[in-house]
Amino acid sequence: MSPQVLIDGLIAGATIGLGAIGLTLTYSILRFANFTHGDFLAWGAYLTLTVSGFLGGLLAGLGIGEPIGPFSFGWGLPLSLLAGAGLTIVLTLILDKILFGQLRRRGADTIIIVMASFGASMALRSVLEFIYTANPQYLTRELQIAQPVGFGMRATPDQLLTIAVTALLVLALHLVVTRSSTGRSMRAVSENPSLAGVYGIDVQRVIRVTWVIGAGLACVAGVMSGLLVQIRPYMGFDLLLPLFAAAILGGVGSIPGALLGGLIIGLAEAFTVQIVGAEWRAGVAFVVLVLVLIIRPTGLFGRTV
Amino acid sequence: MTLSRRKFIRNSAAGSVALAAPSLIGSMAQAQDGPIKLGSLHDLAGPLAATGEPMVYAIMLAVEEINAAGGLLGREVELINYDTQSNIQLYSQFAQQLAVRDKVDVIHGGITSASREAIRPIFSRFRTLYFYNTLYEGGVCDRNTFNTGTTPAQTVEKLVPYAMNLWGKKAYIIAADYNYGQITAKWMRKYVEDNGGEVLSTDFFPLDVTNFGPSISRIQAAGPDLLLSAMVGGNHTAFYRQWAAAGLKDEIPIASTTFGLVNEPATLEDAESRGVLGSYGYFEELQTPASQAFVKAIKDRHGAQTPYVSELAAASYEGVHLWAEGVKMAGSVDRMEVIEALETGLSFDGPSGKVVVDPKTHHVTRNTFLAEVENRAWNVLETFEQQQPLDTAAVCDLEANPNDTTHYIIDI
Repeated sequence: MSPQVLIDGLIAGATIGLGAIGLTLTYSILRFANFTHGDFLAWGAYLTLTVSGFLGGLLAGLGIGEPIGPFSFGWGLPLSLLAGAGLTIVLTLILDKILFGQLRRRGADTIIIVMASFGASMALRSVLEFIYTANPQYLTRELQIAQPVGFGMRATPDQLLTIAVTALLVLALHLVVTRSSTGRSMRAVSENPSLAGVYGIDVQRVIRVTWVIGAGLACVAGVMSGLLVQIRPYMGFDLLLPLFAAAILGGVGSIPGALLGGLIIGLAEAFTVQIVGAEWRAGVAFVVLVLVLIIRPTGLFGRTV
Repeated sequence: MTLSRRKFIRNSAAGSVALAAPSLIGSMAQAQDGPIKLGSLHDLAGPLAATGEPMVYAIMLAVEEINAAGGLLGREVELINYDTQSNIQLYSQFAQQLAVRDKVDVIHGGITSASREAIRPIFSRFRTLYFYNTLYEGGVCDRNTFNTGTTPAQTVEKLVPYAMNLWGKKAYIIAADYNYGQITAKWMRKYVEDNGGEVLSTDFFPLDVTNFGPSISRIQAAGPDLLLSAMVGGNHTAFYRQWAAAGLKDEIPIASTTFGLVNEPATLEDAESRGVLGSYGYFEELQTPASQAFVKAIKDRHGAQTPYVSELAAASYEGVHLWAEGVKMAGSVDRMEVIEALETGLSFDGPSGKVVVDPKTHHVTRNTFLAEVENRAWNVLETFEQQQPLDTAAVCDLEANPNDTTHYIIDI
């Protein structure tokens, strides 16, 4: 077996991990399995693509549209990513206001909210297809060739960058949640929302922060996946099972757990392709999910729920 | 779709009435039946939208031409198209609707073999004539069904030895994980072995797969001389880009039974697609007058955004015209009379050349071509005149067994 399997698994795992963080946060703070999360990835990628379409021409006009260093994209992409993340956050906040917030206020059952998220997921996906069609799109037309990185492994600069970005984002987020007062409020709300409210914690604000973090990371994950693979309306939906498996494997509510879960799922998929065969890849996330639920339902870092 | 359908029917209605006038007395009774209805089931949304769009454009064009020439039997042909949205359930649902509610006289449609096998039994049950105009794995043996697309004996049989001759004997097969890919992979293996080669391994990919990193490492580790691909749909297009990004494109060349059937050369960069070999029953780049006129007619109507006009479009267009020839000869739209007329070995000169119905298999004898991608377009290298559907002929004889409805699967 070629050691390349490690790189392949880490790259896929980084995207899954970033996506799973948003999922695990909404699960622990808003207390429902959010099926729209996959579509936030897709929306993030498309919004970034749209902004970069406008920005690309502008930057080319200024003469700084050329690719940066070894990467396949110019300054337009990081700037568009910021704007795309902002727009994705706005999208999720609107969705919370008109859908999930309404249901919360009415004290709807969790299952109702989950079903609502399922419906919203279908609607979001169809709107994407309506606007952008189902044809795959690409953030950059530059082709990168993989370079040797030692131990018989090869990777493109873009791939290495996505791993680095993931590590930095997760580290930063972990510090925010464990060291800042916002993080303390988040943990308090996830522990017991009504008690946190009684103690004077602004629960609404914590909910907004949760959406901001979840949507921002979803956008980054979507753009990373779009950069390395392609952008299409179903990209997030197809990642949903690995996302859930990673979040549950890591332990609901745990940020490092979600990342680690994502990496494990990514590696498991890569090894399955090498050892068993490509047609079994999609089944791995499901097997992991079932095993975790049977053997250790709280996941790697989870507390008893 | 409704809008454009109405539009062209309105445009052609005046012409058809005028032309039909001399024969009006003879066919008065029929003329009062209203239009002849042609049903169409194609995906115009979802992952297969880019595949379905040119097929529907080709069918619209054929219907428009038939109406402009006075319709059939003095009646106008009305196109009823349903968008199946890349969803097999919608295929079953709309197939019943076409057969039972709309009571259409013929149906052209189905893209994936999975969709065909969902609707073919419905049309048998409701006795509605069916045309499947997609290249596929071969083996459908059904008197109610006509298949105008190419099958492996017409294309893969040419492609595999050509590629092996250029690149070597050790092949690795990658294919879409449903009946088309599974069966085509068997044909590929057969032709590789028939030509003294060896298949190192075969990998199947579900249609939703887009990240091929681990699989590419696996292929690289196996070290084949060439890669044979039967990947399907927009998601699988990602493979070719990742293959090039892994630095393997110049090391291990690709021959494919599906690449470039939709819009792959146009969506990928030259560096990602140059040199890929393919073999189909038609290429947009064919320089014959019939081909150029066909491509121009479609592009004039649908503008710069028209997807690649592939074998799928040509066979759909030829399928509608073959059916029209059958109706003309039968002098009726009655299902059995049209089938019997087609079984006399009717032919039509289409954009790909002469297309002849094979009575024993209900497939067609047609020209096939072999081409190479260059500058994001196909460069046609070879033409194989009048290729017979020998794969299906080996298992199917509808003259001897008219009640057969089996989808035979090659046993290797």
